[in-house]
Amino acid sequence: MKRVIVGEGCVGCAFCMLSCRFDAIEVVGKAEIDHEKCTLCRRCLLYCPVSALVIE
Amino acid sequence: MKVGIVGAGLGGLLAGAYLSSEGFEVEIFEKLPFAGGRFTSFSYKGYEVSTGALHMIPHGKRGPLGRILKEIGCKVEIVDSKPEGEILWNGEREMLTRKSFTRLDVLKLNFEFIMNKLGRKRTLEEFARGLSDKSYLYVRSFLGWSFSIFPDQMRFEKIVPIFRRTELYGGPGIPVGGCKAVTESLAEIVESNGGRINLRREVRAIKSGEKPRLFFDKEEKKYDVIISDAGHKITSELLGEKHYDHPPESKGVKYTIAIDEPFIGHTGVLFVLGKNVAGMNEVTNADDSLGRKHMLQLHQPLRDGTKAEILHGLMEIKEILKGYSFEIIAIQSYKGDWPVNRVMAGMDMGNRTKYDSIYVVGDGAKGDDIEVDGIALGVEKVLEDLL
Repeated sequence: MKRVIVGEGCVGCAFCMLSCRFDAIEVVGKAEIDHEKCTLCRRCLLYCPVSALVIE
Repeated sequence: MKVGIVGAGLGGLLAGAYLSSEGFEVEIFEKLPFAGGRFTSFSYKGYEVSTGALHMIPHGKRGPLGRILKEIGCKVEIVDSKPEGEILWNGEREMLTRKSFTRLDVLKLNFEFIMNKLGRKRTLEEFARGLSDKSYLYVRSFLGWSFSIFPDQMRFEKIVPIFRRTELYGGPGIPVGGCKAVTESLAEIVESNGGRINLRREVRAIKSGEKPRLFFDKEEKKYDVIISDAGHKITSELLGEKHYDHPPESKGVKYTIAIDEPFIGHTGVLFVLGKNVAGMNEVTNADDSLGRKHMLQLHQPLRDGTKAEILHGLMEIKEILKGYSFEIIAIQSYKGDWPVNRVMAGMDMGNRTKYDSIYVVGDGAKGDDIEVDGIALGVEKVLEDLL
């Protein structure tokens, strides 16, 4: 199953959380994805300034 | 003259707005889906959560950014903070005035200015350790709030020009509509002058030469001048020069809190003494459209950027806000290639590169001032070269 993976490069800026339309991301120092809520819409990938998110 | 700008942050937009209004043909390229970089906001749960720093301009409407915005016809209103600052120490609050510090500490400060002129080189930690507890802790909080650094990370002489500028321009201000109002208005100016802002368009490489070029996934474009808003480190990587010694960046974390009743109650800064959290502001006191209820934002400098440091800050916040009804909306930390400041305060490298027609603006290339006012001074230096 494909899912959003948070890479080492995550700085914790929370742009992914702020842009997520499904309330599927929490950030305290680093992003954590709630895979139950995530729809793989890829919006967070676009908003990540350091390209730390990937779908694998 | 054709100008290519890498990055639509405040530096890129400010340079673009100015140059396009002077008749330059401006094209801006931004890899993210929005313009404004770390000086805009996201609407989230009814609050305008700033992307980078706080919704604040260090020297208000009279400072460098305020002045340039006015010059180029940006219509954003800036509310100067009143009072400028307050101190929270040992559970007590006190207005920040010259009288907040003992005469002996003020004397020691003036003496250090003289010794510094005579060649004494000390860090701010070495200097401030000799002051009373309250003055030392204030220096710590001020540096943490303004630069996201600790006193041992800055030399005394670097604070001198900034201290003078604060005396000249006064304290901070809050833009009505937040940071976003400023960058949106700059983007409008670029476009109304025929300039173009391309979003989701990542520059992959820069090539120097008589006509420097920008490279994208499938094409390249030629310009007369290229201005990079990505800082010296990333710019030199784009130029293909990886082996370069760069000064460190500054790390920090910002907490955005929704609070039913105002905690600060005015438009100034509340410096927190003796804690990891350095200070806070409550911009909804200047512009209530920035939040559904009140919005309190706190900043904490980070040494290493670890989760443990952030959890410590969170504990302090819960203690400070005891008895208030509040909700933590967002915790945003900044380090690495997306830091608080691309170059630690006092270590800026200027706006030139080794190529005549390639410049760097933005927070990695500030003039001698704080935050966005430093960005404005840096942009102004590049303009002096080009106009």
